[in-house]
Amino acid sequence: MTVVALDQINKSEIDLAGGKGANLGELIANGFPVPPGFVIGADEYASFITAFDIPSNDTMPEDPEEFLAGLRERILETPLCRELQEKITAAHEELKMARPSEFVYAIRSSATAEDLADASFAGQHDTYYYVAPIDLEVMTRKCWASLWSDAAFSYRQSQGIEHRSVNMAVVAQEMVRSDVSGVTFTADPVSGSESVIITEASWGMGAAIVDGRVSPDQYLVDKISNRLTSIKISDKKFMVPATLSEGQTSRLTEVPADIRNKEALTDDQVEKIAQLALKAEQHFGGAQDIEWAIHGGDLFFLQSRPITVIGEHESEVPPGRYILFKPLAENFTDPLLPLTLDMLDDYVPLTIIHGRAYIRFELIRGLIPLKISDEDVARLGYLSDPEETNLRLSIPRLLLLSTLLISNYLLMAVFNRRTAAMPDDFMASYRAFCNRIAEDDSVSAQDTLVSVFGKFRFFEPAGNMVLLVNLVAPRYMLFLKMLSGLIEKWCPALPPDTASLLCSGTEGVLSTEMGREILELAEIAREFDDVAQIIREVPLKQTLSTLRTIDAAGNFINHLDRFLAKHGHRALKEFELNSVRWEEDPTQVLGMVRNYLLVDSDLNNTEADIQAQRNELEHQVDQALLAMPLESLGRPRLGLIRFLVGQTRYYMKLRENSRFYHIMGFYAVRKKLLKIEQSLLEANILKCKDDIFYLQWHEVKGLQSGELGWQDVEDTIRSRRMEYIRLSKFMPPKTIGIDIEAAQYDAGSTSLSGQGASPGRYEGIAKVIMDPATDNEIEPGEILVAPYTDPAWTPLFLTANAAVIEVGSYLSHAGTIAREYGMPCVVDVTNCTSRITTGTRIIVDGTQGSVVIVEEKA
Amino acid sequence: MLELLLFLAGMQIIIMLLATGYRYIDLWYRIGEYWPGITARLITLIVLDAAVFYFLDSPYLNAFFWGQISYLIFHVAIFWVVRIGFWLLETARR
Repeated sequence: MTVVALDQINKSEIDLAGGKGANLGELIANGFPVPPGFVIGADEYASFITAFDIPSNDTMPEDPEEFLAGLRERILETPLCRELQEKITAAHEELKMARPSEFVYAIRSSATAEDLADASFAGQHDTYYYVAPIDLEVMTRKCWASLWSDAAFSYRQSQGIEHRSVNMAVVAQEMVRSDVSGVTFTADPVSGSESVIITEASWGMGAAIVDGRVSPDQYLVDKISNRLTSIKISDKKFMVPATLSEGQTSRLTEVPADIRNKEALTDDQVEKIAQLALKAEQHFGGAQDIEWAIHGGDLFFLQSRPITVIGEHESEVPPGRYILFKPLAENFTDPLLPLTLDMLDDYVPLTIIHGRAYIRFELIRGLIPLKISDEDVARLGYLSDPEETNLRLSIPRLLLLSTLLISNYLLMAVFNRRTAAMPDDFMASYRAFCNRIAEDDSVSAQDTLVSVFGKFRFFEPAGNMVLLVNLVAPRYMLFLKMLSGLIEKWCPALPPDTASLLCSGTEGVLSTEMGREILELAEIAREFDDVAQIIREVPLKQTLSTLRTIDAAGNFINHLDRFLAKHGHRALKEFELNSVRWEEDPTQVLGMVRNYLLVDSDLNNTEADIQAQRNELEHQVDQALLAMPLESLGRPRLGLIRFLVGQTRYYMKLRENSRFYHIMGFYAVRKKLLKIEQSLLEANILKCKDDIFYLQWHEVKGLQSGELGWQDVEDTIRSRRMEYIRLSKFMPPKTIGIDIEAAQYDAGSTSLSGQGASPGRYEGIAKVIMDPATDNEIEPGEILVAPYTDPAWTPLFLTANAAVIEVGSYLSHAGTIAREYGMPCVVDVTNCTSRITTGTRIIVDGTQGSVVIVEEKA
Repeated sequence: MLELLLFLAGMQIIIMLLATGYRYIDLWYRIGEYWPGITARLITLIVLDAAVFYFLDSPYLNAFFWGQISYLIFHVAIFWVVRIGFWLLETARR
């Protein structure tokens, strides 16, 4: 029977100390800073478990859940033998002698099959913090029981590991009361690159990162030069504190507002961690995944294990060819959460890969009646231009497409006419429609989704059928095409983007109005110095409560309330059900107001300038047409041009506005889910806010009915949180199974190409913004560079002078808003957010669809 | 050929009639402002329809009539097909 100090263990003693314990002992022996502790040997477990008569893999029950639950209960109820208890006490006393003050333990499971190169059980077996010495025995049994959790059992089954061959050692170490903690990978587990060291860090104890509760800062260090090459600061909302306050039941606490967006590590700390991590990699002879903690400026390594999965999980990708569903991806590139995916799955004919929506290539191939290569079909499916310019028709596919178009016409004919020439506010009734359904407790969350988007009465007003309105709106492309053709034919001297410019500046586009209303809020705030100062200087989380204490802010607050009553359903990543809406937390709105207050120039001039340009262009068209034969007799050509401009503007507005109302429908679903979440949190069935979004709908119903409890979903939530973080780390490929980029993309090139979404040319300094929740400051004259945009990004367009977007299309929010504001915009620029850094001077040509890097920032 | 064109014309007019009729519902929240225009348009279409029925003879009248009836039935039926589709999806989900 064995209880051994960690510094007596080396890496060959896996059978005694388990993989984790052996690695820790090896680290101590080689001078790495590891907290002291001891190991309760795996032989102790082996001796303990013999009394439980575990069956072999072949004779395990077919449905093992009940067996596993019973086994865990027996382990927890059976006390350790006296001899072992005495050894544990002696080990603790020895450790205590060397410590100046009281301390608590971190108890880590260390199975004999884990932390080996070909099977990492990361996250499968439990770790416990804040363990008082008196609880060492209980926690030892808990660790042993974790060997028989459903997740660990399933993992061993999937890896073909004999259950009875795996024993569990327990590592008891002095718990480091972390100020900052994190994980470091000495190779990129997502891309497989071995030239970079990735460190993720956040405040407090490491449990918040490991459990996926917080999005940590990310630091990239070049392995050869050991230089810091990239920093991404996250909005770190939660932490597990180093010390629990009295009566605190939940370990997760909110991070103070002033440090949420502050760098958790200094550059020196990042480089020191990277150096030590590299040393560990060299010692162990392979890429390492290292958990570490910093307390009082001192760094400690808590775990080091080999990275077992490097690069894309091939098994995740189903066979076949797929194209990223751009209408969704251009709104946000992050993966969708499990609950959102599950709720949409039945109704949306898309394939989910890497958490994103893809459409089957064969579906697109069948709809395009052109004789072009598969690659060009994929480009068209991705809403990009084909490379082939000499397009020929395919008669069989044309017949098929014609049949579909005729069918679509018949289906939508009445609705098309119903939505022609409607007043701007005809969809305003949808708000009351959604509120009614949201407040009706007899309608479930899943049924809400169907009710707000599909299940209508026969005499339903068109304004309540916003999804159908959105389907009608793309006809603007036809009018725009006709207009472009006529302008090119009748006014050849005018710029090629004249048609687009004539159709911009439409009144009544709700997302554009939103940007203007935020500007108005900033101007109202400016009327009183106190108000403006509070918004500029007080942390955003406290801004509104501070404003409510001063009389001068009354007008501003009234306007803010009106703004939220109209736009409060909006959010960043608003298609995602877990996104917090502005009505729930107006912090982001106040952040946008602050951004305007920090800018000195008069933004009101921008729209006036754009309107003046448009007027001048209309005059030029008018003059060009007047020179044509018979034009002076009733102005037929001008009338046709105006008709087409009117129709294009009308349907473009319809598209944007129907989208505004879609989000209201999603918010109605979110409200239902929040009610369910609240009841589950109050009943202590769920433990943490937002956990519900990592479940599937049937699991939520199971929790509500009592069929499932917290213990049934805890591991599932944890693994899905970690999977989400992993998937969030890379941009989704545009296509799978078919390559459309190889000829176009060159990593070292100073010239980047994309799709021109708004005409014009502009040279200026780039500002890369990955997430406006953490960084929304952009100076006038700067060029916005972003992975995607949605309406919540609109105010940034009002300040920027041009935009470069990684995923987007002419029809996307970025393109639409850029045209409204008359600024050059290029979308669909592969890797622009990594290729262009903040401070780089670039030229954006929205007419040609190109971006040129003039001068990189030093 | 003329019968086909009249069939299609019948469909188009019933589409316009249905859409105009729906306008009362779609613009109910501002009906005081819009009812004269909607009513004028509806009357015009009804008069046009009646004129076609009055002046056309069989078999052309039949073609026009069947164009109208078939689209009307299609319009009502498609609503119920969609409802049944949702019901089937929900049943499968449960």
